[in-house]
Amino acid sequence: MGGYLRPGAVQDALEALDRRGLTIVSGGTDFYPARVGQPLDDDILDISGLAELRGITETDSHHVIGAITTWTDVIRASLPPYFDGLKLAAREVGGLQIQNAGTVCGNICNASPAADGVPPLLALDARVELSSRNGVRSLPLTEFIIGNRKTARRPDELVTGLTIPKPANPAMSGFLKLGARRYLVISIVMVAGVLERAPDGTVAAARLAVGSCSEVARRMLGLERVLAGRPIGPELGSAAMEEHVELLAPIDDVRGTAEYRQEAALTLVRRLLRALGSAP
Amino acid sequence: MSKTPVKLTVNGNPVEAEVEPRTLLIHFLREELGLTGPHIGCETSHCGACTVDMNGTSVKACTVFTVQANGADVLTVEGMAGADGSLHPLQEGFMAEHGLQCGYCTPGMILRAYRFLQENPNPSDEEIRWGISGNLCRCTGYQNIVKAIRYAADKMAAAGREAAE
Amino acid sequence: MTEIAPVKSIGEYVPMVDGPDKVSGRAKYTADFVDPGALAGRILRSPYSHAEDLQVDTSAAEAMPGVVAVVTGADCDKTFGVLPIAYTEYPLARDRVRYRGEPIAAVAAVDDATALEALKRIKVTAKELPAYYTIKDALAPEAILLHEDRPGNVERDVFFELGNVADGLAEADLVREETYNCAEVCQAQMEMHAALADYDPERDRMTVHASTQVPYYVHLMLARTLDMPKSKIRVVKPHIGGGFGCRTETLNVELIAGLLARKARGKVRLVVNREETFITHRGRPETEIRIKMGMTKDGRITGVDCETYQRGGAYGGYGIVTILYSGSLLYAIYDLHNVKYVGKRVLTNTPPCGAMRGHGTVNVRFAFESLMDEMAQELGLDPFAVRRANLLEAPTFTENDLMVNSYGLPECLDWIETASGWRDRRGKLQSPGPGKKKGLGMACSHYVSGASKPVNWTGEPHATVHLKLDFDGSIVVLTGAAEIGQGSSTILVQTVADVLGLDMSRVRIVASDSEVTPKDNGSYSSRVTFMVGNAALEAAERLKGVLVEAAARKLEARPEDIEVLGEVYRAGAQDTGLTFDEVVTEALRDTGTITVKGNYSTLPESRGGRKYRGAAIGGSMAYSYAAQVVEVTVDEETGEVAVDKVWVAHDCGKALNRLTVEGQIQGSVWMGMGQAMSEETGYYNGLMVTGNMLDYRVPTIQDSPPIETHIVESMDPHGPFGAKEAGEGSLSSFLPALTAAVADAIGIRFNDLPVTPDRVFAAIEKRERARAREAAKKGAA
Repeated sequence: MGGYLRPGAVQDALEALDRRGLTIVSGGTDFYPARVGQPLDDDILDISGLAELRGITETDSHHVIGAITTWTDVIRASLPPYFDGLKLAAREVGGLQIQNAGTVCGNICNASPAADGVPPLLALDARVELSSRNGVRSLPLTEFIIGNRKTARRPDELVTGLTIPKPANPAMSGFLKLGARRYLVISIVMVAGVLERAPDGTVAAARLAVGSCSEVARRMLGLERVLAGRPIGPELGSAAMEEHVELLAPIDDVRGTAEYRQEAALTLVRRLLRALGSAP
Repeated sequence: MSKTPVKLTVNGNPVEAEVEPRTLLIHFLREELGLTGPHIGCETSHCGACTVDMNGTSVKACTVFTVQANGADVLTVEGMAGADGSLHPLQEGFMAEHGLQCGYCTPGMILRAYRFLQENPNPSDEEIRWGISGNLCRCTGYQNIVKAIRYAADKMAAAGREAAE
Repeated sequence: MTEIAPVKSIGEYVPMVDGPDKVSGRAKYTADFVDPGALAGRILRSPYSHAEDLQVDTSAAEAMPGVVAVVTGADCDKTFGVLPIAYTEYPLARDRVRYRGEPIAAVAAVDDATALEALKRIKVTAKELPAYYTIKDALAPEAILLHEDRPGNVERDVFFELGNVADGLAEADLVREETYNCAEVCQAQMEMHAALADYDPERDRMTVHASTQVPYYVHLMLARTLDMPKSKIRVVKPHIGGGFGCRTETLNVELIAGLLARKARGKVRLVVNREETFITHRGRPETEIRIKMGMTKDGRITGVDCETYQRGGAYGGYGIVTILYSGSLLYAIYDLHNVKYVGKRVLTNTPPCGAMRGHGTVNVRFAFESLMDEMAQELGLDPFAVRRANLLEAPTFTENDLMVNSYGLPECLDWIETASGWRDRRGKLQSPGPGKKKGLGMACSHYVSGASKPVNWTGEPHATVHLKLDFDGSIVVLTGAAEIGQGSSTILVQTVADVLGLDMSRVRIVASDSEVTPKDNGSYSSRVTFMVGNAALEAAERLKGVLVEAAARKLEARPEDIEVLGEVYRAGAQDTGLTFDEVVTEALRDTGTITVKGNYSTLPESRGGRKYRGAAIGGSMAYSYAAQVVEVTVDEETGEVAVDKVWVAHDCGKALNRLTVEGQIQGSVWMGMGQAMSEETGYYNGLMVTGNMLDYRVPTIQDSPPIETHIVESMDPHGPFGAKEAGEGSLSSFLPALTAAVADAIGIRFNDLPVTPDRVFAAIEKRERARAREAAKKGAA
């Protein structure tokens, strides 16, 4: 056998992966672009037929985004406001056609430092579910993406979905992106955040993540601690300081200098906090 | 490796073929079916020139394996005109408003705009711009593309009102 | 009874005649000729930026089943190029490679996968040489030569001084000098390069379909590199997915396709990918400009001293012309008398640059207008006032002998000033939000309507059009003019139909098939409307003469009494007259099918002067003029610049087709926006790292502002119906108008392009730091 497989059940997919390494494809939006000028001769596991993995389901404690859930599915799903950041990020992914085909899980599996989906998922505290014939394990997204285009997925594993815990308090979220053109762009900086509101109007918990500024998008734990307990209002923006973005250690490249990225990240974080703080 | 049989509908016509399963839909349409309206402009999924309609959504045909279109209903620019050969209002609009110059991006633009107007028949200019953000044009500066889609939206709305009366 | 009247289409809004093909998918571009009988071609490219002793072993590739032909530099020892004095490239490198990505070998195989596999089996070795990626490194005294016959790695040195610059500057109330840098950009047209070469071994004939702007050049270079008689070659130009200058030169793609097809003794389809299209390049060179200007208190320019360096890439290409244009077209927009120009076109180990839209003028215009604007500010003059202080008065010849007969720049200025609300709004725009500032800027530009002296000086007319009128009453325009999306076919059909008073549906066009259509010099330097349009006009007038003669014969009237009403020819208002078909029948009696011809040649006095070597470059029958106002919002916290709106006026003489003229103006302004704000090619040790549509950032629809266009018709005495250039002239004024608008918004003027968010941000930071230091100093004092 070999070449191309399109199973209809997860178990069949896992058995195929158990036998040999395969290139896993669903929306295919990054498949051909990565192979221009080369013969298309990968052995492929096409998981787009695994209907059971499509869509967003809800349990008492979580939302689960199935492995082949597309960006358009996310945009159209009726979800609580703390998913707004993810929805905004979804609208930035490569145009409507790519949103229709590309999947959220594919975006994290590609593990590009500039993947639009990663910062909002980090801010949502997402965990990645990995299945193999030998069982299921779950990793925090921070442990799943381990480097530029590197993940902790073993060759015999399939990412079957993302689980997103429900926050303990009412929460809102946002996403901002800066690029050298406004669309179809690898961002210079992206920022995503979720704010939980305590009954007394203070920040019960804040989760912020910055992408494109480091090999792997990062949570801003220091700033999150500073925000906790502060009254929610536009002045939250001024809580962000240079020291909070210093851990990003961005690099110089064709899209901008490290110094600029750090400054721009700070600006975007402040703006996001200001906006979230001012939201009704 | 072995070929996989596929059955699909393209521009209303049933198509059956055996394809190497890694054949991309864009190559199948162009090289097997001779439907060269959908173009290849970038090969990296950015330009949108290969956009077709598949099962009621817009897709870039360079991101779809032909086997993934098995059973699907595919529409390309060649299928846009009416059975009597009359042009679709979008086709008229792109000509009348000069929404095309070299014409290379046009089939993708038209197909994307087609689905967009199905989803949003009465869009603002801002919404039109969002709706076709995944398509690049190098000639027009886009202004007349927005006008072309507006032309079609207006004409389709007027036809809809007439039909209702 | 309705009044019979001739149908007019000139000056109207006319959709393009090839529109129905383009909206239906019927239009065939080169890669759309999908032919199961054609072999698939692929090119192997140099992994070296600069190397000699190139050894290419193709034996393993040739031994592969399915491989039909492999070609290398050994298969062709003829150079090619665009300027007869600079045929410097081989279709496939021989012994020496000079840029990363230069073609080394090519394969024709039964399918694409086999061709790709065969490329992997070709072994290449070479001795690497030092490579130079910057102007400075290539000009360094110790640098080795890229081409033995180009000392100092300079493709061309240009020098002239007309008038006396020292005196001019001495006369000035203000003298300023600035340097500018414009990054390399390229056309990024939507269609990737492609060629379909079909060799007929029985007849030893070659037919090539190519994505070119100039089929004639491709024809010449195929004959040269294949060493075949020109008469054995046929070049067909199908629909073209944009050119913007990169397809003006013959490209190695079409020549390699020809070499493969002949060796395979069959048909080869060679479609290069997007990255290869970027590497084939022929874009606008990175340009460094130093300019010094003198100005009187009332804004009059008294002297200009300009020095321009262009990083031309590894081969000459159009380089000599580009560096000459940059100097000569300092003129013909303002009244200048004392000008010194030094230009150097430098050879570097990067892909060759070419003739991109606005060829040679764009970057110097950016520098010139920027400095002019800045000096005006220093003198307390309005940007409009300083332009108005330097206007030409047509008709005139410039100091470098360029002939200007029509000049609509004053009207362009008036319109943009009013339409943009300049007087009421400049300096008074409200900030749209925290950290954001708005600004307005303006600038002017111009361009030629075709080069009066063609690249290949053969003594033939500049343009020839044939018209065929047959028994069916249809008229066919036969032209070599290459429709590349700019609408040339529509203009020619309109011209013929309008002269004859006929509906355009009576007129068909066949363009750019060397077997059928007369030779044409091609679509570049905005020559087609002016030159081919004039030829079509002459042909149509001649055909009208033939028809009038026939009508007069039939109606037994004098020709001068015949009234031509399009579908009816009559001898006076009382006469019921003859239908067009009846006139045609009479005209064809005895003679049979009628073919008439129209020619056009430029006037000798338009061909530039002899005051310096190369002074012919810049000579044109007419110049277009443009002015624009750009409105921006700058986000000082992120460095993002957004263009909110553009008002542009363009003097194209008579606008033959208002719809396509407006489209050309919008497209030019928008392409200027890309260069000003986001586009830039990038290399890492000679490897192009922006060779895709994500990293080479052409503006998306989200970046693109509304562009309000206005046409000024200064009616050129020599243009067809008074028409002149429309498709390039308004590009370059966007760049300085943008930086002027940014300067108006935040007080910082950018001399380096593109104005990306990181650059803006860095400049703001620098200013803030300087202010902080000032404040600290004051505090200390």
